[in-house]
Amino acid sequence: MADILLEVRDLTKEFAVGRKRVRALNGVSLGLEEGEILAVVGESGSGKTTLANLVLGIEMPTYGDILYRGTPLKTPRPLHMRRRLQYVQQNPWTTLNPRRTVFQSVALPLAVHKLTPPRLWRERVAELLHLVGLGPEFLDRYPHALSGGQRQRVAIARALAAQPEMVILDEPTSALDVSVQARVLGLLLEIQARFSLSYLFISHDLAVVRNFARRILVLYRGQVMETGPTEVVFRNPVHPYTRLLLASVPVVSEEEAALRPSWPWDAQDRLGPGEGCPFSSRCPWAQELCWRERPSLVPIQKSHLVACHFAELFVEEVSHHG
Amino acid sequence: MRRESLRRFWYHFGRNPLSLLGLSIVTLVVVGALGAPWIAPYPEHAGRFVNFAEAGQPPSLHHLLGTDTFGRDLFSRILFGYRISLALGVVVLGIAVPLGVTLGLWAGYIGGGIATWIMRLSDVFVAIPPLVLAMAVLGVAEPSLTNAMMALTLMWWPWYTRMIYNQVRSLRLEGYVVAAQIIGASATHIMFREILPNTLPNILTKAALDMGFVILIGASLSFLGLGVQPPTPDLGTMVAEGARYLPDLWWLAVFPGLAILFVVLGFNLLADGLRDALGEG
Amino acid sequence: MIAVSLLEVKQLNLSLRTHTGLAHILKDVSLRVEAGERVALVGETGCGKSLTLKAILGLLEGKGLVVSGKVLFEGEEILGTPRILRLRGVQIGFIPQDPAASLNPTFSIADQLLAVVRRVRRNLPKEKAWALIKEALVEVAVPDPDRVLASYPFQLSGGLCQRVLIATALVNRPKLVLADEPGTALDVTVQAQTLRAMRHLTEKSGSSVILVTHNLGVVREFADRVYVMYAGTIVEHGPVKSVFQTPRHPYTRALLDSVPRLTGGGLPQGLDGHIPDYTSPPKGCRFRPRCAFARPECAEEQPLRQVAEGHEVACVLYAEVPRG
Ligand SMILES: Nc1ncnc2c1ncn2[C@@H]1O[C@H](COP(=O)(O)OP(=O)(O)OP(=O)(O)O)[C@@H](O)[C@H]1O
Ligand SMILES: Nc1ncnc2c1ncn2[C@@H]1O[C@H](COP(=O)(O)OP(=O)(O)OP(=O)(O)O)[C@@H](O)[C@H]1O
Ligand SMILES: [Mg+2]
Ligand SMILES: [Mg+2]
Repeated sequence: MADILLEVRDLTKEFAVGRKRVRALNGVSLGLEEGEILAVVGESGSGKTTLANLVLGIEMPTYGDILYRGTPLKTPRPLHMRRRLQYVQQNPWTTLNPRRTVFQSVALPLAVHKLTPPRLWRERVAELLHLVGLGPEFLDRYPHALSGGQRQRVAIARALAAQPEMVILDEPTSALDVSVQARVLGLLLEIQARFSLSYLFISHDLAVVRNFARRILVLYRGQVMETGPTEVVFRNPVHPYTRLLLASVPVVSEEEAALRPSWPWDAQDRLGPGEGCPFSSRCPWAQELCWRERPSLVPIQKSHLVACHFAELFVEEVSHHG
Repeated sequence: MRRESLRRFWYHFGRNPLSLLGLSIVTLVVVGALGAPWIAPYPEHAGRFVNFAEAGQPPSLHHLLGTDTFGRDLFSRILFGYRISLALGVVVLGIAVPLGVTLGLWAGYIGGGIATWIMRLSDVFVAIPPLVLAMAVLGVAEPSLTNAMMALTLMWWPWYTRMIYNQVRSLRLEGYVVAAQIIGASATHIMFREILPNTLPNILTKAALDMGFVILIGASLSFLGLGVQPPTPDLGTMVAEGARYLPDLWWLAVFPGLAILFVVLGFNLLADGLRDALGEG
Repeated sequence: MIAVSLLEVKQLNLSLRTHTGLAHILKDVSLRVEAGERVALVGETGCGKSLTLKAILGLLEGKGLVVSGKVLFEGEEILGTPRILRLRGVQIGFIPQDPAASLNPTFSIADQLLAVVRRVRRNLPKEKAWALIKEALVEVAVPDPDRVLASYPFQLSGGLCQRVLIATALVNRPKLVLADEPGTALDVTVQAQTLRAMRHLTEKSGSSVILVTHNLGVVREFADRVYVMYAGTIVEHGPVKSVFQTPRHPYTRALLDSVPRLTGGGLPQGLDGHIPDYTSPPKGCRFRPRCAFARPECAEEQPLRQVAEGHEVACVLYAEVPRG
């Protein structure tokens, strides 16, 4: 087994919203191996970006530990950590400064971390642009002259300029067209293999995750619902929320449609107390126990973990059908 | 690609005839003021010149805007007056803008105790009408061009501090600022290289507008005798002196007054045009 | 006598003046919607989907605009006529692309819905009108209609705003609903529910729909027929089944091939390049610069040719097929 690069233990983050405290993340644990791609999926507001921000050190955790190669990370992050851990943002339209050229943006990590002598910056940036499939004619362009896909490529080049060990990708292609998305994802995979990078890949597109990540972690309202190898979870989704997610994906072929679990669409949401399972209000199978008690994450098989009181039931049901 | 942005700017700027009018007025005034020693028909009339033989003449081909009670050519004096007005504007904004902007960047991005005090102070300044504040300062200090400049500079920076502060508060959450932070860039880099360039359109627009205001308030101070002292040809002073000869020698007050209006209008139209054209990103 | 289609767009051309020159965006766009039919308009960003809808709705205005062509609603011209003003919101409903920006923040949801209802039934008693709008919200699966009616738009989540807009567009039971990317800004689970609600409702009232989207999965789940748009031109159209099973145009094929599959099998190839500059678009087929099958003949105009029942494609590869 490869070394664990990043380990997150029981990570919790609360925000003060007015008088109330909102738990954006509630006891999340995960491990990312060297050279691995772990996908974090979940709907809007489930805490994906909060998780990224905590790992990057933009926010302070309320509770819990973040370890990098076994040592706890300090906040604010020391400069050498800021080099190793890079970030590609969700929105290609704001990730580049409109008043700075592509060269200036990509050269920033080189300057900050003194990775290349200044006279070689242009050469190095051109090299990085080539790596992401952009020609040297882009060096002196401003972002407004770039398409969304090109901007995202520049953002990837900027992340690579730091020679990182790990990259957090926050929905890097959600704002792009499918045709462009495929290219950018392909590029990311190629780079990952070439520099044996580790990716924490945040996404809400399950079809993308299926083809991109080796492992998946499903978040709902800041809690891990299910996690395991992508293939296993897609073949055998156990948690009702995972099943709802899969059932909701609009697909383009019959084979895919057949793979989606069935879902009782007409079931109404029930408003209830918030003590127990966060999904209980939307879960058609929720019982008394679910309202009352929060289920803990337990293994169904080795490395396939589910947080549901009635997980066993769904495992059975699925194996009947499949 | 700079050329492309420039072309887009001109496209939007040029579409509005009022913006072009503003630009023309400002260009005319600047050229007239800078070139006054060569353009003015009687450059020597700017100073202590007396020729009672030609005193108090109405506008004529010889003296386009007439002559004053000392026989000095009014048109020449107005051109030289513009030099004072523009110098006042350039010096005041030349100090107030960089100062205000830097403080705004600091308070908005770094924050902390001093920043809070800077912002409180700017609140106070902003709450007092500029003319009143300048009069208060000049009531204590001796009236002169230098002191008028100092007074105006003192009251002008807080406006820029406030404007930049508010902009920085939203810009610092932009993706590219977060990206620079994650990479580990210094606060100086982020403030001056990442954030500042994105506030420039607003700064430029406001500065153009303020040129007009500073000139107007400078003229008002001179009018009240709190600014430039005679015989330096200041437009405000000229209006004040000319007013004594109303209505007989009406041109003495009216033309310098119109001259002030003209330049203020020019800067206002220019600022409007800049705001529209730069806003089109 | 030939039956009249509910909506027919004929040879719609649209150009816009920009700082780089005249942008020729829509070129000979023709589409047809029958009563009770759900039609999808699909294409990449910037290909002119929203502009097409806005042209139909008469929402385009401005100096630098050049429009030609016909838009017939029940056989009557509505392009550039005041008739559209009477139809909009009554016979033709519209669900705009940006839900949050499309509701007026200064009025409560109830006020906005009532205003729409009153356009048709001016004298409806208050209680009846209230019952009607409440029912409209229930129909789009709003769990708590009384609270939502009393709310202002900014107090609602994106998903709820979207549903309110759908309810607004459907409350007068229009004959045609134009929906611009409903649900793309929403979570997949909410999107799935929204689309279900829309399908259910339009089925019930027999309304036709034009759904604009860039998501091919949504097209397959929702529509009967699909128009594939590339750079302001319709390159292929036909029944969803036919187009998805046997896509003909290289662009449609590339688009379908770019979609990652839930069944796995690796990432798709994707497509290089981007939409051409509209101020000087390529002559003939606009997809030519990105097309793997491009040949010299592509520089000539390619008419739509029928390749299967109701399935037409504009591509030189099907030149031997007699013109449909
Ligand atoms: N700075 C903050 N202050 C208060 N609440 C916050 C803050 N940041 C996030 N939250 C809340 O925390 C929750 C999780 O937010 P987060 O941005 O991590 O979600 P996400 O999964 O990234 O969603 P999306 O898919 O929309 O990007 C949300 O309910 C959000 O409102
Ligand atoms: N008012 C306008 N002025 C200039 N260009 C415009 C204007 N409105 C749209 N465009 C251009 O017209 C083209 C088509 O725009 P449209 O909004 O119809 O695209 P779309 O297919 O709806 O894309 P999206 O999926 O991003 O909504 C784009 O290239 C756009 O930049
Ligand atoms: Mg997020
Ligand atoms: Mg659109």
